[in-house]
Amino acid sequence: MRVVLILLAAAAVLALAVPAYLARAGWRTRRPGLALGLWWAAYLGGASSLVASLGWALVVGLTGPGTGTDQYPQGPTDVIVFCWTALIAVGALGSLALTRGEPLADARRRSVALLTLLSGAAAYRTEQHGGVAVSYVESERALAASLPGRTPRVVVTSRLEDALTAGELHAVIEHERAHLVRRHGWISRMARLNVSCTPVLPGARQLDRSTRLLVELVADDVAARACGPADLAGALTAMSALTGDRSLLLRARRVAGRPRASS
Amino acid sequence: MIRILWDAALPLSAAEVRKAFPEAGPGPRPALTTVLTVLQRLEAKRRVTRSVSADGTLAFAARQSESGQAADAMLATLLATGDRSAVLLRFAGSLDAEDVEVLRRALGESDDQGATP
Repeated sequence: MRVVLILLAAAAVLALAVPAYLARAGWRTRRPGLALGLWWAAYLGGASSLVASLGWALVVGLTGPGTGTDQYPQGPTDVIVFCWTALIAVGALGSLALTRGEPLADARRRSVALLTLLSGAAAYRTEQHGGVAVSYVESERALAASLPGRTPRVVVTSRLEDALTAGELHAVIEHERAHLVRRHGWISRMARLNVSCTPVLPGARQLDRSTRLLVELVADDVAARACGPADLAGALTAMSALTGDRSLLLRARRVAGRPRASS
Repeated sequence: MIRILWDAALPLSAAEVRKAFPEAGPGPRPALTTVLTVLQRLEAKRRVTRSVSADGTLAFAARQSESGQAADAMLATLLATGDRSAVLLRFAGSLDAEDVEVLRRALGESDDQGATP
């Protein structure tokens, strides 16, 4: 029984205390990659501890009362009731994940189909950039976005291309490519699925929010190292002028002064 | 009316737009004032641009090509679908006010210098 309690305590610490610390840590915008790794290590660690505690309880319940620290004080009926309750909880969580995951998977399929159609029918130019197809489409909207999948793709609109220098455009593409190479799409979808299954848990909401912010900062850092912070800051500033999104100015300030990787 | 402007190689006057309406269409040709009113409304919606031709008449042209308009419509749908499912990662527009506050605090900016998307 003690092992189960230790595992449950570990799950509680990883699901509550660690997110509470990470949500307030001042260094997370300076080290976004480390912060993202710690967020997901805490999440996966907490989930694993919870599953392990249930598994341990089931094993001990099925093999009968043991001796020493894992001896149950309850009778066999209590253990069987606990086991069935645990199984029902796991089943309910699994079916909830499937139910909530289906609309997300459907939206993903539709997005891939739309982007394929857009790239095929409306692209005035397509280039390969580090193994990723970059499609340029004519549009009044200033936009650059990436879509992961079997054929990962970046889309850039003519309005944005016209507004940027060649170096700034390269930095934007490197930013989007970093999302694809580092599987930020998958991480973001998992965080969104997690919060849609457990919306009442503050840790789930914080994980979703932090993932959204940190993947952008990680991609900014990768692009700044590859193309130089000046070009990325220039692209962020130009995009802010086009869209009115002033958060981009803060991102530009954050990357300014970061060193470019020596090649 | 937009289709007539798309099909034209050069900007058209209101009279030329009116003339381009098929005679054997489902209804009578619109009056010149109706054509002008619609063109002005399209201009206000930024779908049409107006210029003055060499002979002093007003000429109208579609601001965006047909493919550009189709691409815009597809992009709007893609953004709505992609944002809801977190499948599309955008260079801009993905952060909300709370994320901005985190960044602002990290950079040591005061509220009045801050940014909201």
